[in-house]
Amino acid sequence: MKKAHHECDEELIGRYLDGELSRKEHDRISRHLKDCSSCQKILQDNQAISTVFRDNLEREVSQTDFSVLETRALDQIRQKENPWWERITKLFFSNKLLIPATALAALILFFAITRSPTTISGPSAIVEAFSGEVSSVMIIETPKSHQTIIWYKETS
Amino acid sequence: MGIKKILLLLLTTTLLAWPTGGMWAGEPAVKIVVKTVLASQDSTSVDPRISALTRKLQSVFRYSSYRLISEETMHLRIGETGTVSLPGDRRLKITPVRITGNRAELQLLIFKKKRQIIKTRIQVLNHGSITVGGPEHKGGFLLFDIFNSF
Repeated sequence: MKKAHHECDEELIGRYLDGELSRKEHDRISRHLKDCSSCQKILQDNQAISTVFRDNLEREVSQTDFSVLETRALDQIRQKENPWWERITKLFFSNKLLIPATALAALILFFAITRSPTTISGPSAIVEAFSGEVSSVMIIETPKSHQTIIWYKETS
Repeated sequence: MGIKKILLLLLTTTLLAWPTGGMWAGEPAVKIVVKTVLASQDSTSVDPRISALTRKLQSVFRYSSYRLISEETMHLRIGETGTVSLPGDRRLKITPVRITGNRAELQLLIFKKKRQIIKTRIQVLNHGSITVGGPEHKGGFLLFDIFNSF
């Protein structure tokens, strides 16, 4: 530290430029810079580098569309907070979908059950045409069950 | 059980039952079941496997014995012909012709050896059957119960 206060120190000049020194150290370096040409050169070089870096940075920043980055980042956050399977589960279990779907299911079941032939109306079969080498044929319908029977006698 | 679980159960049941109703099926296939029964006066036995059919037959016939000889199941598309072997060197050929409303139109041909005995065209109720009978066989009479569903 002693060396830094009384002799040329590139690091201290860098910190002086960045405004990181205490007032006491800042004043001391200012006094030193008035008399030291090599440190003045270092300070000028550092200032030039700093200016070039800042200008480039500002240009790059001005060309960047932060709204796109922001949207992308927010989407990623949302996905992590609420994954797709969770969203589907929520939708499926929500009353908005479940109640209409169940009502529709109940209707389908109702019509499917009532559609099934629990009671037979008319004969079990209607004979549209009959031909053959038979000596006799009868078409019978049973009284209650309405079962259609074709009874024939083969020719010998 | 919560209301949501009940609703979900109902929904699942419907989704599972739907395809069996044939609503999603493409070309309809007709399920045909042919039961060959020997009716006679030999005994008083009734085969429990054909008790429902026997009850129907007993309302018009006076046979004391009904015995199931064979049972064959087929799935036939419209225009496709299935053949069932019957006792006494007989054959039954079944062809679904079309489906109209709740009835399937079937063409039935019965052959004895190479001779065609009968040819008939019938409209059978879905989940219904027709009984064709009459040929003598081993002291009794043969009955062919032809069931269909689609």
